[in-house]
Amino acid sequence: MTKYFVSFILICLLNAEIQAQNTDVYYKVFPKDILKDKQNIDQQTRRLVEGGVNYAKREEYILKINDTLSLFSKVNKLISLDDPLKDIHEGIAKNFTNFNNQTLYIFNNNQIIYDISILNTTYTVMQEPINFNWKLSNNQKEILGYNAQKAEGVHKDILTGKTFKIEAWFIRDIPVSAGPDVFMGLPGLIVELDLLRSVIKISKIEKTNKADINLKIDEKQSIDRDQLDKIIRNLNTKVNEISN
Amino acid sequence: MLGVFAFGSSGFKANNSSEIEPQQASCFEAARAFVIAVYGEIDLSNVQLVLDINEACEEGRLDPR
Repeated sequence: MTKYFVSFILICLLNAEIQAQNTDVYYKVFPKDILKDKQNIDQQTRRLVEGGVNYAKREEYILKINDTLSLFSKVNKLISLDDPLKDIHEGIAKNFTNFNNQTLYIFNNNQIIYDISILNTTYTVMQEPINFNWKLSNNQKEILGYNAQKAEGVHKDILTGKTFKIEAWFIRDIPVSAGPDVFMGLPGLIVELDLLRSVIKISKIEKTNKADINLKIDEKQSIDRDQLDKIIRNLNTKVNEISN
Repeated sequence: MLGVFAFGSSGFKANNSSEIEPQQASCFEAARAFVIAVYGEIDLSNVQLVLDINEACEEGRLDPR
């Protein structure tokens, strides 16, 4: 099964090479005040969180779309190397979105493939797109000159198993059922996404002739969702040891 | 109550203990306390942060106050 998917991906990538035009959608992260309702937080803790907030604000993500697939990933940027707490600030920044390292959506096969890092190990997972039980609203607003429509859904976090409400704004005039990371499934491109700890907003959209959609997949590490859930259950045992 | 961090001359330590503890234990407890203070609990989405903060503390990368 895995071999079939990997072969399919390679064919898709080959197709991507000959696509005449792609669409690049850029997103920025707007962190929420996660200490807002918390009492007795000391200055040092606030300073550390603020460092993570600043890293999150500098993050930019790109969603590359062609006729066959979409690929969501972080834009690599030069970050100051003289920050002795870089790993901690990056970790705090990541927790504002908890996005996967990269997420590929193959339209025709209705499969998503994503790289998820758990405790310094990266797993490549293939599964059907997640069902967010989207409920469309009549609320509309203009985003980047497009008419955007609101939708509300429910997201169950893969790692924690907790469920929380999400809110998305999508553009019907861009009829691509894609969006940031695994968030998709609406009748148009998701351009704004309200998550638990942050809001993700489109910053620009570009048409490009560059055929640079590329994804490295390690066939040996590809697993399905059931396998991932089993790994998570086992790791949760270790987490309980740390948290108690 | 959550005086999670205090940066002493010997490095980053938990300050919610009146006893002198080994640096390693203090670092780990402070890292745990930080994550619980910020996120409410330790789970798979933030446990790496506990380990990273603990490591930074032990290496003295968290600046003394």
